[in-house]
Amino acid sequence: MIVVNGEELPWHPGMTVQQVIDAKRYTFRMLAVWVNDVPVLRERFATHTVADRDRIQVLHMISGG
Amino acid sequence: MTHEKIAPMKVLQEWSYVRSPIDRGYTRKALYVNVGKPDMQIREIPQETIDAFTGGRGFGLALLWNAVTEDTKWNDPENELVISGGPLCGITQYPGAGKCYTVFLSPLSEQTYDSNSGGYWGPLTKFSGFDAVEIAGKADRDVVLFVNGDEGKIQILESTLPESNAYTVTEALHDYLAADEGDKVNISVVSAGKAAETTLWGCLNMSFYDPRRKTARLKQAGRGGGGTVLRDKKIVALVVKYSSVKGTENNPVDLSTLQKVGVKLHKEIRDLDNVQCRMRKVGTPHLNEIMDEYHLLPTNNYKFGQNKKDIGKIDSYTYEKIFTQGLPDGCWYGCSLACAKAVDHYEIQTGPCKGRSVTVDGPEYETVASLGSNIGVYDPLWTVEANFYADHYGVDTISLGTGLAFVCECYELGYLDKAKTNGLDLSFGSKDDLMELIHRMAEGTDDFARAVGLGIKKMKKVFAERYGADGAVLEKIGMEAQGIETSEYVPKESVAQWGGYYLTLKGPQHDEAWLIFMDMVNKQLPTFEDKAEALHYFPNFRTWFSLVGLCKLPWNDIEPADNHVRYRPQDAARVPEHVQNYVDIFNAVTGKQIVKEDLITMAERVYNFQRLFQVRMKHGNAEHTIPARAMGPVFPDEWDARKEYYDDKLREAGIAPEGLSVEEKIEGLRGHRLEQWADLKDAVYKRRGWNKKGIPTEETLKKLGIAFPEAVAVAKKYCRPEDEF
Repeated sequence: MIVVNGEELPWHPGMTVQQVIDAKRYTFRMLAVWVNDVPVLRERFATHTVADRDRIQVLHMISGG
Repeated sequence: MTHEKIAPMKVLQEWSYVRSPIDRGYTRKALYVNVGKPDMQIREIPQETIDAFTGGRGFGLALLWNAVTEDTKWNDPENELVISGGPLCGITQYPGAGKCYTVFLSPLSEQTYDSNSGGYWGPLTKFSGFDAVEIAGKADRDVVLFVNGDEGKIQILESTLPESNAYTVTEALHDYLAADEGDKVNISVVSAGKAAETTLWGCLNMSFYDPRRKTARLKQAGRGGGGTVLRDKKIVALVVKYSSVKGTENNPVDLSTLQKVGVKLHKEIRDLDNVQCRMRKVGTPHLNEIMDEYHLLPTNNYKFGQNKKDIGKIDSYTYEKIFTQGLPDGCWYGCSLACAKAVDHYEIQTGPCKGRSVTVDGPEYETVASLGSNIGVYDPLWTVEANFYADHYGVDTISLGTGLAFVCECYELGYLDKAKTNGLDLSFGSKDDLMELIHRMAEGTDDFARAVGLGIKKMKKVFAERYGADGAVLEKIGMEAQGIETSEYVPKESVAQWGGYYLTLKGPQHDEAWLIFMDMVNKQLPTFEDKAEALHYFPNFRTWFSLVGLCKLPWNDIEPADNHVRYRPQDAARVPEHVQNYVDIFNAVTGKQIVKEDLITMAERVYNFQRLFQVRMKHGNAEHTIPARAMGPVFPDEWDARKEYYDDKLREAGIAPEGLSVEEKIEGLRGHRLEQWADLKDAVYKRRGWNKKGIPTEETLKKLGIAFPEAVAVAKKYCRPEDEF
């Protein structure tokens, strides 16, 4: 299990940041992701894997208006 | 759109003036014109006013404060339209620098309103010699006010325009006042339209001429009813002409820095926009499907935030195909974000322009929602046509759409029927009859259409009194506060956004704080103090744009490539590198030496002054309110659409949903959320330095350096000891 924005999410081996984003249905493009307080570049979302019990923040930057 | 040439317009009054040069972003002059007396004055803007109010909205409020009393009504001759850009308005080196701000007493809220717009009016009036244009009085016939910056003349002309509708007026005046086709770019027209005469939702259309399309484009100072004020003064149009625009017109002290910072942002936009917000391709409608995915797209009068079945018909990719691609769509020189998208060669299907081929500005995201999902219409070309007529008739698309959404729900609740609507089926999605209602509103002869045009606040009263509708239900579902219709985001599930919409200076408009993601999704604002801090910082930061003449979009609709990894999450949301850009370009133009904290202080002065202005106009009764639907479900179908989600929310509130009817659940959640609203309000008022009634205290005014005697007098008059925190 991992924690994403304070909520638990089932984890599986090899799970990438992008799969976390997809599982949460976060479709917004302007995302910032921090895994255990370490930032992840957007270019690496598809390859950066997360570990069981990781704490992940997926931040939606504000836009629009 | 084609038009007939107009007959020569008689000069009713003319004054000459000597154009003041611009020094470091300021002319230090305001043009005052009273179209009733008539009278013209060129007024000095003293250094103290610049220090306290900076420019733009700040100047507008300062000038309006002196023009009105606490008893002035929106349709009194003393009410003014004050339009001002600000010291950065008109620079061409940094994107988004053509904005101006119109301040007036609103017919909807009966207090001050400020509404911003792109187009060339702001820059060209400044280059013509004026930091602000102040328009008072009421003419005795339809007139055009012409600021001729080329010749140093102010003229009041007797209108020979065949009608007041915006596209007709704008194109005719660009044609009438330009020496030739190439001269049309040197003109900007401010107009309203027929519906600004018949409704309280009148908007101001501010033009710029698009030489590639060979047509005038319209940007809107849409909200608050400024167009209604314009037409109440019998002004058909304001026009400015200035033909010598240069990139150094503002006479900045440090052109090199201005250029360097501008080039950096242009490069970011060029390299990153396609993978970020796609503003250059689709503008703000890039948000359409995102808002739907997050349950934030207003659907059927904000009952729902999502319509999975139909969103594909109105998503950003659909609009990308409708918008003309490959043209530089900036609404002022130098804006490479270029989000002013347009639909070209659209053939009008209904109404007085039926059969004409036109260029339609927009629709922007707000219009896609207001004249789309919120009224149950998922036909983008219908929305394009409704957008065209809203602009042409001079009516705000947001208030119009939110108002129509309220009407649709009243119709479906049985409060309205065809007998009451004079034959129209106004259920959600009845697009033909909804379009007919828009035409009737502009015509102004149909009693039902006229009632709609009064806005939701007054509609609630009319529908209850005239049609026997349940007033308590209307209060719950009417999405207005302070008389202003809510703009197009569903705020129900973000406590911070309740504040972003309803703890605001002028009503639920999205130009103060958009905190839904930070609060609801990112979970960055867990406590009321966190929310209050955000509701202090962001509204003030956003206010700063309105003081200097900048568009907000290049702040955070594009961000540096490393913004998301370079800064801690709480800071990244503020886009620190862009904040520093603003400090740098402000200093480069004005020669001042501000730091980023000063942006907030500059804004805070104006924010608090405007709040005090509202308190003054409301005779002390300016406490904030929020409609029930903005805080949660009102009817069982809203709950059932997200049953598991809402049951969980009830549990989080300490109420077990098991065994409760849906109606009981709704009441339970509502009770909890009302407590949250009260806590939020207290925390926000306290953080802002206001008392329990939302009035800035004398101490706050002193701290900010705005303890002018007349401001202190208002604070003293309405602040009671028992309301102190």
